[in-house]
Amino acid sequence: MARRLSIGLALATVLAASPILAQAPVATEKYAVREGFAFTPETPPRILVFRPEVKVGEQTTAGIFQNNAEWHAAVTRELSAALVATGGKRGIEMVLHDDRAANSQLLTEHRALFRLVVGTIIRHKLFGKDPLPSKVDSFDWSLGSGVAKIAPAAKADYGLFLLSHDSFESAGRRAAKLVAALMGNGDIAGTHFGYAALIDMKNGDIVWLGVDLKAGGDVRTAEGATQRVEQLLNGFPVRASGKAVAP
Amino acid sequence: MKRLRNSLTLAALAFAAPIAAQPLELRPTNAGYQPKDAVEQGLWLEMDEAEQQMRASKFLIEDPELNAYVKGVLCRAVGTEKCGAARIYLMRTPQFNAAMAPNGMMLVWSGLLLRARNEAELAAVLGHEFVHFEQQHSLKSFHDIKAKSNAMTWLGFVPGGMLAQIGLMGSVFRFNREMEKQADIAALDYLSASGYDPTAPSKIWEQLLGEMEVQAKANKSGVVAQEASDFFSSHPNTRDRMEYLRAAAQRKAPSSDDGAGRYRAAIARWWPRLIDDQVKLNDFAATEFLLDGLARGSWTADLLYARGELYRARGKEGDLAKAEGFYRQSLTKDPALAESWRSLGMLLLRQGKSDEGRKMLRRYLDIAPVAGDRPMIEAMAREPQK
Repeated sequence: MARRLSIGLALATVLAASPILAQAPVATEKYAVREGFAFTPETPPRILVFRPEVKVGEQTTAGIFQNNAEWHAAVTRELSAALVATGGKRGIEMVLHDDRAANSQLLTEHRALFRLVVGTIIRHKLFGKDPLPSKVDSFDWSLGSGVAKIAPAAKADYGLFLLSHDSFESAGRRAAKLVAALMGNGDIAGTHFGYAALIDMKNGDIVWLGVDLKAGGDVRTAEGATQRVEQLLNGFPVRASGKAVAP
Repeated sequence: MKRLRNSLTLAALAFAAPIAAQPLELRPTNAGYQPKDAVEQGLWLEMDEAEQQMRASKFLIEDPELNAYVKGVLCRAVGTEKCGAARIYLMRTPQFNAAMAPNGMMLVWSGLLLRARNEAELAAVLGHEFVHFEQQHSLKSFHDIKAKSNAMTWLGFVPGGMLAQIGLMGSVFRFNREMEKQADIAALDYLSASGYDPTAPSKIWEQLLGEMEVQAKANKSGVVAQEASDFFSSHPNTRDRMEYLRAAAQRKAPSSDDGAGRYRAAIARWWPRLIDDQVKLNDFAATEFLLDGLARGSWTADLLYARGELYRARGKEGDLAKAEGFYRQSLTKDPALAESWRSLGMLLLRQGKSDEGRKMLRRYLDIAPVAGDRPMIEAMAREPQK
């Protein structure tokens, strides 16, 4: 059954993609900050960086996603390093979290919850056309106080989650795009999607979220990863100014 | 003579050379196997991440005894030297299904445990999934889809290419059906070689087909969903599967070892929960058929209890009286079946026979003093304040 489903999905991708007609969504990057949020000016905040959620691979001629393990290792490494370095430049202490350590079950659960909540925010708040009536004037999503139990030993004030999905076009895909363009059809570029969020490790509140539907930078390289992180951290709360950036 | 020996040596070398050039190919079921190329590494990575999430799933049945039993059945079927490469995850999901990932993660749904009537039937399904793993069917399938879908893309630019596109899509499904059949046949070889009853695989499909037919009739669709489509099916038609497996079984040495007793003992503790999940699907006809198939004319206390649950849950006119009868019959056969006392008690309360109902609930608490629902049942069993 599971295998059947994946075949169905793969073929649906093919049908949707050939001939290449669909238009890519309007590229946008947006962010939101919890109202009145600011880092305390006295002490530099300590942020626990969770292992980035990375999906990276190649887009086949037909547009099927082909996972690449080597790139995955490179992207995970480069994004983590770029986060730590970028944080340092902003006077923020970023510490990498060891995912495979204790309480990984709790973290896995919270990751799943987080993906769901961010999906809701993207759809109903940042990009979608169907806003939730109770959330029109507020940005007050939370993962709940359970996050405090994920890594109490790290003594972190905040946790940073980052997601990056990239599919690079294969040579065949580029050729097919060219043919499609010559025939007057629009193109579908490879997907480059990412978001990052800052979570209050005491109560699970999402204090800041940055989303980029069409992110730049070749995250497989150090320079590209830095570019991506700089882009995603657009609107990231400013340290010590005591002033929150309004969404 | 010497020349002859020399030429013999040369001949031996000539024969040996191609063998040496092709070292024995490692299969994913061999210890220490690592994915070979970028495509396979990518698939494994994806599945490793899925597996990490699976480990945190609330649907996971963690009972170490039950897990050890299912693993043991796989090991007997495919051999202890190979079975270690597969990691089995029992999922509490009431439908009949099992799935295999290319990295060795095997998912077994609890609906399968409920439907299998003996160890040989369970071994047949586990063996089938194991063959997918051993023969790298997921990887082959990905390559097949990738190549054909690429061709489909180019055909999309050609006038009239659509027919060929549809043909290619059909061939993707045909390729999958062929792998399914291959897995069925190879699993039968395993089953027979390990001494299990070779007719078990055809029997499990026969039972499933019956269940699907009854379900279709009850839904008044008249069409068994699985049989409706052929060209775009990823699995062989159930009737075909049953028939080719039956024919293949006849060519195997007969065996009467189906391990029915061992199987019942191993899933006994889980049985009430499995049947409870099934009853809650609210699929009366299929559940009744399933129970009938499990009983095969001899209704045990467990099965009578399950039948009582089914009728009590539907609660149409006359159902409650029938349910009461089934509970009472089950308790005659096995007075220690705690769940049957509980259900009978609840049923009597529902019918207004409060005194007798409370008495039955107290019997339940006597037999199952550490039951998880004790506080609730105690409250229900308490005599009302005068």
